[in-house]
Amino acid sequence: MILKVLYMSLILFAKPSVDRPSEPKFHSSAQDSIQTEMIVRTEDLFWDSGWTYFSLDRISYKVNTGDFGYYGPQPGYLLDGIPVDPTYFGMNFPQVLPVPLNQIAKINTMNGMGVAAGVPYHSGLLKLQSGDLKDGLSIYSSTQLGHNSQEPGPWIFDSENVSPNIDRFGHWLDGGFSLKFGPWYSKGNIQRLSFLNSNPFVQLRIRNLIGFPEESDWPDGRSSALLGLLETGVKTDRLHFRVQGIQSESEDFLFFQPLGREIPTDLMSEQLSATGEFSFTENFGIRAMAQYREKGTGYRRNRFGEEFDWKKVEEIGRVSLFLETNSFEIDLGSEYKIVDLEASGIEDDEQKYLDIFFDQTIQMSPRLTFGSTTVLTFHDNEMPLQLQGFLNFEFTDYWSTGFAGSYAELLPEIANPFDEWVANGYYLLDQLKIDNFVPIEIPSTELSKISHQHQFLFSEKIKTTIKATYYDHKQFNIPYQDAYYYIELSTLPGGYFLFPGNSGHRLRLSLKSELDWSERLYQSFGFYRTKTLEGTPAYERYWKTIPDYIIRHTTVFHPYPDLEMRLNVEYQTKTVWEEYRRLDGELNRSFNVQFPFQLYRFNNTVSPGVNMDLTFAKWFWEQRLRVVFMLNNLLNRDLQSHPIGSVDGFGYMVRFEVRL
Amino acid sequence: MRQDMRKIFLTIIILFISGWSHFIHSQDAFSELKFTLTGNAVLGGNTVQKSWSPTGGFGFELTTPYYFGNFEIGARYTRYNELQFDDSGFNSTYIFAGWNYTHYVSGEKDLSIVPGIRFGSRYMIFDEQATYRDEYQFSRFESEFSYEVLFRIQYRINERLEFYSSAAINQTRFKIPYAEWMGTAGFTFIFNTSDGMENFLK
Repeated sequence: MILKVLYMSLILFAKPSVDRPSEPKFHSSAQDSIQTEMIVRTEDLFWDSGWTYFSLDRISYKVNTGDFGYYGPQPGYLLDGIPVDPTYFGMNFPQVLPVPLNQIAKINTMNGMGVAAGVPYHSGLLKLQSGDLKDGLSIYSSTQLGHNSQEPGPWIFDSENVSPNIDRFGHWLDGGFSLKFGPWYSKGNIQRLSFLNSNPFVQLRIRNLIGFPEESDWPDGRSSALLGLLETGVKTDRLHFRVQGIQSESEDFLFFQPLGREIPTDLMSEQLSATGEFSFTENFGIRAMAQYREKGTGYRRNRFGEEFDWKKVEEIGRVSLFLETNSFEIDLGSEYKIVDLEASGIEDDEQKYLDIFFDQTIQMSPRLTFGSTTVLTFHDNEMPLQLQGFLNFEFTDYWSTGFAGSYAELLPEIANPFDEWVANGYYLLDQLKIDNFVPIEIPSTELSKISHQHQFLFSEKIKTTIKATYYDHKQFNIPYQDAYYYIELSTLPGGYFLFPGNSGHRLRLSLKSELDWSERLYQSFGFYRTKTLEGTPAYERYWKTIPDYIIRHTTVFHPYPDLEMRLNVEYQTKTVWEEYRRLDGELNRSFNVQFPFQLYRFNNTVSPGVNMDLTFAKWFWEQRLRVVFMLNNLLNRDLQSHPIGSVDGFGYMVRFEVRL
Repeated sequence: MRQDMRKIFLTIIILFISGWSHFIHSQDAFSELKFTLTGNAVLGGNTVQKSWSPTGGFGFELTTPYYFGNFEIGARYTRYNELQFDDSGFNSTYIFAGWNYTHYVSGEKDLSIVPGIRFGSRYMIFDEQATYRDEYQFSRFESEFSYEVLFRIQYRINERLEFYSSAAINQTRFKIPYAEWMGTAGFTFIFNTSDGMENFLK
């Protein structure tokens, strides 16, 4: 029905008026035109990347950049050139990024390993850029809320038919300011976030793990976070110096793979950064950065006296020299990192890492470009190496081709940090009564890749890129837990294993077309095919959690300067989760108050799904106010991305923004 | 699945066509502001009317021309008395934003037909809290996404006054489908927008 309504409205919109003809009268805004990515949900950050992701609550995500799957290293985050880390135990919590989603003006996605702005990354990078600061004082604020359909409505009084469904996104509230006078600036923001997901599957999160609490001891199903950022700096043609502090505290739920469930968890982080960039000449300069980062977790309601507290302190120094001309770019530098971990069974575990990196791109002729990146790490007696190179050649102005290859050796502290901690004495699994089988010596992960691509410019408006990537995982550690079905608590953790010594080959084909019809209409089509060619049995099972085919489409339509519409469509094929095979087909129940009493069934195969989201945004007051309205899952299909993740139907979100 | 794909492709094609045709024959956006006071009555509906009896209601709308069609916001209040379930009467307010298109059917441009669509949320306040087994008390407040398609006939009495009568099919996406036909009639007062107001709306 809703589709019919939308079609009707769109058709009406498309129909030319003949009654009151006149030329369009576009206003010229008093403000600079504001371009943002129109990010409404945290998952929108990953939309254009071609990566896959799953979530249990549609807020926090595990991401597969293609290199190491969901349980490998997660992508890095670079916010305005400063690294931030919103991940805990390999789970991404983008909601605690120290920038409101609506303030993100641009997202660039980097794949594989590399160096960006003097910062090495291992498995993809999200470069987030907030908007330019304006002279003088600027302030902004926004609030956002939404929920899925299926509320009980007036039938709340009919206990035979419905139960209270209290899914609520939000409300989220944020505010910020910037001050800029000449070269000096200062900015800050604060965010208060809240989210409640009461989907029957997600209710697993609030059950106790190893016993039944008293009625009043059940933790609240709501997540909340409070975070903020303060930054000040000086920016001239030659110098950019800044000092930044960020802090976040949240009550959340952490998907803990060794347990096969979420744990109610307190998350906290603090980060202090000082960074400077000085250009000796127009082309040559130096970058330096010092960072102190502290992240920790605690248990939201600890009834059984377990020690879940975990704290990691990182002290990082980076320095690099850069040279940028029309024909070549060089970045040569070093990163020194001291990591101090405090957790149950681990005391004074101080690890030191030194990275030396060299990144260069040379335009060898008007049509030939060569680039390479080398990162050499020194840690204890080990010296893992990461390197990549590419060669791009333009056959014509409309056709270019490229070859790339890379080799990466990742220490277990990078590729399998949790297992490395367990091997060093972290006894969280023992407290959770999980039998663990983690080797004392965990080998490094090794990956080689080669890729070949063609890019066609069919016209100024149409660009198509076709790329094939071959992955050779020479040594791959695969974590595995065996979730059991247990009627009283829904699931119980089985044994936890880390299987080293796996290897295999994969192939990824991608095709992406961007159609820039006009300033007002943009479309993109992405087609991604991945396939495991061969590998050890555990390797082949591991990659079944990634869909074989993904199709993504986006239409962005600006009919008038103050109005924007965005349509996202995605199709994914099924995924199979071996770890949950013992739950497959089991009936389970909701623990929340529910009338009538209902059962639902676990399935370790996540069905193929089509999702369609439509977003409208209208500016007011010459781009000072904006209302954003998003309709999620227009087809109202049951969408799920993980066997114990929430099943979501149609929903909506609305956001009000003001910037002065 | 095949039906889904058909809908998706249709939506993409419509957006594409809209992209090329949108700029044709635009009008002077936000040049006037219409304030409408309405009375409304539920003309029919589905299961909701088996358990609750709606009374007449009232509402208001603010409408302004856009480059193409018109934008509107508004609210509509209706009272529903219980027929079943003790103390289950409730007050409902539908708050919406919408778009409609004015098609003049007379040469003098005094008579027009106006199809449109509205999106919003239906907010309910129940007379009493629902309690189950003397134990679980539910909130008195409830809300859900609601949309409607409307069709109205509009008559311009003079430069500053209009009368209209409309019918709309409303659907609110509760767990149990909630659909009703709503009849509305009202008088519209027309004002020219000030420069400040016009700038605000742009």
